[in-house]
Amino acid sequence: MSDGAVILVIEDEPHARAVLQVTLKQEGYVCLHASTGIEGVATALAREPAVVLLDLGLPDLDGVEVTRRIRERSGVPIIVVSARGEEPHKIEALDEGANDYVTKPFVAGELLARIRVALRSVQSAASAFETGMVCIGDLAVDFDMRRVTVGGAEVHLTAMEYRLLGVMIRSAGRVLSNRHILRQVWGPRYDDRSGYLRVYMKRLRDKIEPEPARPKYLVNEPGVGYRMRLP
Amino acid sequence: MPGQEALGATFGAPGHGGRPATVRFERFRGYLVGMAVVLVCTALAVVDALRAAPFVTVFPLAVLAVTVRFGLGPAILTAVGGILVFDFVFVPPRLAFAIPDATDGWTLAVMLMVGALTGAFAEQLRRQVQDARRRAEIEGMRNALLCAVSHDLRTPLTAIVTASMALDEERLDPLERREFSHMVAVEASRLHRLVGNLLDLTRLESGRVTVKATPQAIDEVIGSVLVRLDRELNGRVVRTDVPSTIPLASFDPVLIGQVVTNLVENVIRHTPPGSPIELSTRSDGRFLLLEVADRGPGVRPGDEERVFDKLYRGAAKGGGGTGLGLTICRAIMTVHDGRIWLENRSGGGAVVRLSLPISRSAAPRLQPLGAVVFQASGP
Repeated sequence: MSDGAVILVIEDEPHARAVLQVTLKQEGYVCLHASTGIEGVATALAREPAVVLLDLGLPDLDGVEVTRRIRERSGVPIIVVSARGEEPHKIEALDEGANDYVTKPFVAGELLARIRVALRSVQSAASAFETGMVCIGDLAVDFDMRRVTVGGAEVHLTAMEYRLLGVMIRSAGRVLSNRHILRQVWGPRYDDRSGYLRVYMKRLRDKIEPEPARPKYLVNEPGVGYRMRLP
Repeated sequence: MPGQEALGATFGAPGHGGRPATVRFERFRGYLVGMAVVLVCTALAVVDALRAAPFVTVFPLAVLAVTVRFGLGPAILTAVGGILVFDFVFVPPRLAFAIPDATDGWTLAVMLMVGALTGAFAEQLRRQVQDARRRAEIEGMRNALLCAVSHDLRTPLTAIVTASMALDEERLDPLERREFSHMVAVEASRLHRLVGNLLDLTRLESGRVTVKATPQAIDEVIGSVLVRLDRELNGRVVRTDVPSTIPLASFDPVLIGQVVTNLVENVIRHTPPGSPIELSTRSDGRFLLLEVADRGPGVRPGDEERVFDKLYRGAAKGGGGTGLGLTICRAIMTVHDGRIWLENRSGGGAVVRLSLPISRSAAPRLQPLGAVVFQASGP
């Protein structure tokens, strides 16, 4: 299922690295590793892995800086592995373009699920680019026609709701920070208006979610932001 | 509608703001007693042919007694009242507030000093006794907790040590090997959860958790918890009742998310698979109420408050709880100035209710900004 996708693990703690490698190999992934930030950036750019797992607490560079350096030259999905108490760094890393996060301690299943989502989000982004049409579950967005349907029925969105949905769907699978979404949809002057984002998110959910109180598509990540969930 | 009644009753429950009436009454009684003491002293002196001596001897004792029993406020009232009465009744000209000569002035000053000093010393003593008692109480609780925790820590640890030592042996057959490694995994994850919970609780109780309270929507929290627990819910019926009019409240979404997660996990753990969960929210404008209700066995009557104690576990052991989930919930609600309590439901099952104050600053101010943004984004 994993087709031998190459995963780069940037982690300085040998035990944690060994456990990750065993878990990933069992799933059929090919594992690369780096124990410093500098080595990690170099490997990510030279070997072009399918996914990068990045520990936030590295000895040389902080994870946010590693994310920034990788993002300057590569769009590879980055999953940030953070410990408790590193929340601000986690959000910064997401702002810098990391795709997702897991919080230590996590179970193997959780991490593997995130990796699968990251791999799929790359595919869906690529296909959206080619066709201008994205389908996630019953939700379909035709970017050429500016048309949104849920289970075949057309949904009418305001300009702002459409823009918000567009930002979320183009990064489907990724966790987007509140600040990132606000910048993309409303512009940099609005990046602290998370109350605003919430109201629009609610309206959008009421229109596209079958059960808005238990969302299927637009999921909140408490204290961080939102994610368009891939089925 | 029965739910509506329950809401009224719970919002009216004591504990949100204001001192309990008993404390206020106690203080008031202190002042009354202080005045009574002054009157009794005076009466004593009057009975004793209007001589000042009995008054002067009894007075410091009376101040001392009032301080020890009721604290500084009533003591000051007693001292000042006593001096005024002394001046009025005994210092000539009688029945007038006047200080005719230096000797009388001196007597009054000494009385005032005696009153103040006894009061201050007694107050200090009272505080020390109170502190010592509280410290002993905390120490006792800590020791009891340490005992219980070390038992809870040692049990899985022993299992892990035994099983992993057995795994090191050559003679095991594959079936035994699998059994032992499963045991290590289960016990280690139990230990892991317990240690995590203990650390959370310690951080919360020592005030080392920074609560990032900002205006938040409770429906977002409920939605994200249900999504995260999707696999554990395993197709259970989840009924949510979150009116769209529910106001924002000021809270830390990560911490309140943990509370809701713990409550839903409790239901999953303690009720039969397939039995429903109901989550509902309401508001009376001042408080936000969230209910997590189930149709499980409920808790033993009388244990509704004890379930929040550290390491309390329901009658049905097992289930994999650490006995700290609800304690953590309560600690989180406390740092939010909120409340959490449990009730058995009529018709079976339990309901955990929590209420969060809706702070005024949390009220959304979206209208003007909305207008601006719409203009900016127009076609």
